[in-house]
Amino acid sequence: MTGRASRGFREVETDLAGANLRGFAFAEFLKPAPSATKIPTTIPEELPPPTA
Amino acid sequence: MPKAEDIKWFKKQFHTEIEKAVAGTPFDLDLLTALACQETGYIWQTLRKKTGFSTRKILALCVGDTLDSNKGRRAFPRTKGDLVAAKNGQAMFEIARQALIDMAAHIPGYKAAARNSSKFCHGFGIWQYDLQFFKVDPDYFLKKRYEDLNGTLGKAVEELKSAQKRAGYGKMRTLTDLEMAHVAIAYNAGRFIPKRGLKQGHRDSSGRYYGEFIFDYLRLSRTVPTPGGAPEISPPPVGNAIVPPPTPVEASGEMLIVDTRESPLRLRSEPKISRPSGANVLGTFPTAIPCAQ
Repeated sequence: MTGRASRGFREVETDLAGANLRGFAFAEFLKPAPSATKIPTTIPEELPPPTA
Repeated sequence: MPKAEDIKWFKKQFHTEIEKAVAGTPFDLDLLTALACQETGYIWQTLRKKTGFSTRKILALCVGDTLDSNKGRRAFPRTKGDLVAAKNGQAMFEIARQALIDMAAHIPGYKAAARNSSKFCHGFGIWQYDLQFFKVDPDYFLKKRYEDLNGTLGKAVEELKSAQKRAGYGKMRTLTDLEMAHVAIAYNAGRFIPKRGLKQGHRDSSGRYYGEFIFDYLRLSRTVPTPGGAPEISPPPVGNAIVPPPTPVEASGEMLIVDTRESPLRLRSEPKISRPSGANVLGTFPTAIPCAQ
């Protein structure tokens, strides 16, 4: 990752409900996070939730 | 179709040599296992359960592919005549023909082909190095190097390196499971077309593609430990899909937080808005999601 904005986009990576996502997001909607912010890795459940 | 217990046997027999052969490459034991499952699994999974078959004998019988020009083969040799006309072609035909007869004695699906005196094997070794390379490396076939694990393994790794470049991953030092499956498609079909995903390579009578099989075998292999080791993925309960561990975030730059007012933030595969605008969207981030640069 370059860390630089390109054509208004920034390259970012995150974990969203266990999915690793990496790509380019519009920089205008990204703000500096509080200093203690971490990205937890979500471990998927071994079994599906019980059905009603 | 090889199952976990077949893969356990395969790893027990061959893991040491395979791990040595793939050291320093982006490939691993599970990819070579998946390829062996797909290429000749129907042979070795059957023979390993029979009495009187040493590992050496099983390796020697891992031959196949009798399809020639009447079934669409375009590579050399398209027919028996093509092969016999080549330098040392008659000797090669006799080896390839005998290989078919020997293998068909134990694998029922090849009995009909073995009865046809013009039919012969085109794939040699547990990873099926193709006879189209006979003119390039005749000794591999004529000296039956495919009967030796290191002979056939060396060819497989060599071919995988070449396939890695054809798949567009030539400079990558590590590959994800999906990328490994893409390389395997190039290994099988000669090329990989990204927009087709896993639906490429040989398509079997059930409609499934080579790429789909490889990906499934790769995942299955990751649930099977090497002797004395632990599986990379925990085997799932019966009836449940194999779920790999999540990929951790590797980016270690500035931490950012998504800050939108109305709609989620779109994550795109390249730094531009595509046409149509959703074409390069990989996913959407809700507001307040942290991400790293």
